[in-house]
Amino acid sequence: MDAERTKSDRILEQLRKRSVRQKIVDVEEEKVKLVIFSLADDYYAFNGSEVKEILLPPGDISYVPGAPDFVLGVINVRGDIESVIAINTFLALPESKKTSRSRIAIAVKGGVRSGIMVDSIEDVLDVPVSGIKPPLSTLDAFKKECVTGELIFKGKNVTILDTGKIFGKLAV
Amino acid sequence: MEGGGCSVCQDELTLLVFTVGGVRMAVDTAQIDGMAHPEDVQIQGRETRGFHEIISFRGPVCYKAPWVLQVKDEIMPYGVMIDQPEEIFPVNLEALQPLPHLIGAGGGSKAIWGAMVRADGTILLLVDLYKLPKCFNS
Repeated sequence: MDAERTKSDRILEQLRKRSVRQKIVDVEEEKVKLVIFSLADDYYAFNGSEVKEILLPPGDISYVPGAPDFVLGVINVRGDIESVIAINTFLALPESKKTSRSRIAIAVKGGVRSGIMVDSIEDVLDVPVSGIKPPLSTLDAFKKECVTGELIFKGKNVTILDTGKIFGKLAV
Repeated sequence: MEGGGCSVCQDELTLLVFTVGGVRMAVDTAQIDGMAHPEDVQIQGRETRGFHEIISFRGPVCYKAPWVLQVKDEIMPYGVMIDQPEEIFPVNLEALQPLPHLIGAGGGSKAIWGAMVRADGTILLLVDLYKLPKCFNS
C-alpha cells in the first residue's frame, strides 16, 4: 500500500515537475508590436502602441499655406482635423509619390498626434525584444537619436523609428 | 484691434469664404470693412498685398477673380488680395478646431489659427488677418 502510494506520489511529483517545466517554457518572451512600413524601397517600423490607425489617403489633402515643408496638409478623419506629414526629408530620403499602396499612419506620442504618410504598410508584427538589435553605429548622430533599433524582416533591414523623437524634432 | 465687441464672448463668427491658390480659407467678417476690386483700391490709395505675398505657398499662385479685403485697422487700413470670394455664413464656435500641433509648432504661420470641417467633409482654414506678418509700410 505504502509502495503504491509512493509510486503514485512519484508519478504525481513527475507530473508536477513536467507542469512546472511546461510553465517555464510557456512563459512568453517579452515582445513588442511593430508596424513595418516602406519608404523609398527601405523598411522602417513604428512601435505599434504609438500607431492608432492606418488610413487610405483621401483624394485630397488640404494644403496649409505657410506650413513647414514636411507638412503635406490636413485631412478630415471622421470630423477631426489631423495633420499629415512626410518624414522622407527628415530621413534624407527622396520624395515619395502617392500610389495605391500609400497609407497614412496616425501616430500619437507625447501628446502630439499626426498622420505620417508612408509608401506602404508591410506588416504588423509581435517581435521578441531579443530580436531587436541596437541601431547601427554608422548612422549619423541626428538619425541615431530617432532610431531605437533594427531587425531583419523578409531578409531586409528594418529601422525602428522613435515617433516621439521625430515629433519633437519636427516641432522645433 | 478687434472690431464689433468681444468676439470671444459670442457663440458664433460670421465667416467670409475665399480661395487663394486652390486653398479654401475663411476670415471673420468683423476684421474687414468690405471688399473691393483691385483697381478701386488702387484709386483709394490703400496699400495692398496679395495673400500669397504675405503667407508663402509652395507653388505659383494666380488670381482668377481677385478681390481685395479691406482690413479694419485704426492706424493704417490696408488691403489683402484674395481670389474668388464665395460666401458669407455664420458658424458656431463649437464647429471650429485648432490646427494640429505640428502645423503651428513646426514654424507655420500664426495667421492660420484654426480650421473647420464643412458639411461636405471639406476643410476650411481660418485666417486671422490681424496676425498676418507685418509687411506693410507704417
